[in-house]
Amino acid sequence: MNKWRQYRQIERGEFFLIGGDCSQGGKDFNACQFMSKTKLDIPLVYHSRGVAAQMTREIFPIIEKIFDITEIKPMVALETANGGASEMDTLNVLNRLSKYSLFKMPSIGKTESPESKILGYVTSGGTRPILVGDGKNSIDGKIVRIYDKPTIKEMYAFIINKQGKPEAEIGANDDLVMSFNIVWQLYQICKIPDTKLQPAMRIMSPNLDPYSTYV
Amino acid sequence: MKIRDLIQDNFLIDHPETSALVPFIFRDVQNRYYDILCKDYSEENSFEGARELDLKARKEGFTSLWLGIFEAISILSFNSVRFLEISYKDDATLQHYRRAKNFITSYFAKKEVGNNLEDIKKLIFDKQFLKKIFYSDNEGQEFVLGHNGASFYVGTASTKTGERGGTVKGVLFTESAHFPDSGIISANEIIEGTQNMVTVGTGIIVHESTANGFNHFKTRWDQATLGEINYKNRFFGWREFYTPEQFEMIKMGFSDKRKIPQEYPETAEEAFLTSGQPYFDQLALKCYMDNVQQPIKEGTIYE
Repeated sequence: MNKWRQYRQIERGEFFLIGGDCSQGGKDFNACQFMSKTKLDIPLVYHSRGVAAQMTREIFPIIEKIFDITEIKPMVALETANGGASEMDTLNVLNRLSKYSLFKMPSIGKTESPESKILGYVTSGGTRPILVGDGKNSIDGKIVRIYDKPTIKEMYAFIINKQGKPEAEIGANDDLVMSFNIVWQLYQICKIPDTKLQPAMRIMSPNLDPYSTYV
Repeated sequence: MKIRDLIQDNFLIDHPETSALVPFIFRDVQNRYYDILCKDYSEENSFEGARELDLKARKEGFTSLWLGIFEAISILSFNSVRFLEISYKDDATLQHYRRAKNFITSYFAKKEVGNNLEDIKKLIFDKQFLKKIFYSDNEGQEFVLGHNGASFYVGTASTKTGERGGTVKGVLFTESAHFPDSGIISANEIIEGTQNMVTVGTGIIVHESTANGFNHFKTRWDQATLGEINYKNRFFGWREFYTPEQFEMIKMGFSDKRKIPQEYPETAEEAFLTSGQPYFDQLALKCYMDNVQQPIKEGTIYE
């Protein structure tokens, strides 16, 4: 299976949200859903075996290229588990051209919410039900256009176990499901930035083929 | 002679409803599958190198088709080729053994007495005639053909050890998704050990089964989809064989309606039932699945 699956061309003026679920290797997958908040669909999916650092290396030039095309900084959030926290730090260091924004986890369920300094989406006993439940509401309501068959196949294998906890069936993966859930949280939390504030940077990333038509 | 012609012109098979021996004329779904095999492999070369993973609805005739192919190759071969079938339970093993034996005996009986069906039927149960055909015949275990030493033997996956020794030309795993895990050896270990009896890159290895949840068969199916193993996965749902009216009658026979998509799936996805209640709304997922698209671009751009 190919690491990248793109379902339509990406256009100028689209605001992209990028939610990722990291892997520690083995049979697990890294997965990233690239959602257009503007068009409410997911035209690009990254899905690959390997460790989280490999995903960072591969999605970074694509995130920058999305900015080059859309001229709006995409918002990125990796789940902090399985190495995601350190990969968010890496993305922060790599962001020298300021072509994307990194999601900071808000405080949930507190009356006083100081600005968070944690990069990425933190899944905990408190946030997981929200993460998974909101994702279900979105899917059941058929709100987002999803073109990616492997993502839907994983959703078929996402079950309520005997203890009542939603999770992947034994032997199945949930990386695409969880990355969708994260990107859906971004959709609900992140506003489309005022494009007038976004400098249209024309500087191409040095490691990116400027003639590539990819994304 | 082509294998399909040999089978249809010579083999008798027990009719599923009457149990009477009748000519083995391929059903539409069997013909469609056979055409796919001819396209992907060489019929002239006896489907050498075939690696098949068949997910199907029940009673579509895939076991009979592969047994027919194995026995036709056995008859036509100049060598003492050896075929093996591993079934999921003892009574199926015995039934398949007898079916394969009937294929052989009906072929040679026709050569002996001509096309009259009644004459053929009389001869295939004649002990003297059987002694002429078979070098040996151990009921429910193995038969060896007299004219070339080709053999066919059967085993049941519920035995405590898998097949490992020796070399075979082809192996058929029947209903492999339903192979049990014993305390000594797992279903997957039986399969892995047995399929290595076929020399790498040659012979025939076939898994054909209805689904059985998220077990080793599902893993193998997903690996074939991802190209991680060298099997071609095929799906033949109920629409390939049954009419909507027949399907309605089938559904009425199920007291546990949840099992219907497993036994008679419409899509490969729904065949693999989960052990728990689905989390997402199934109608919504069906709607999404109906609207998935092929990628306009895919691959790895920096390699």
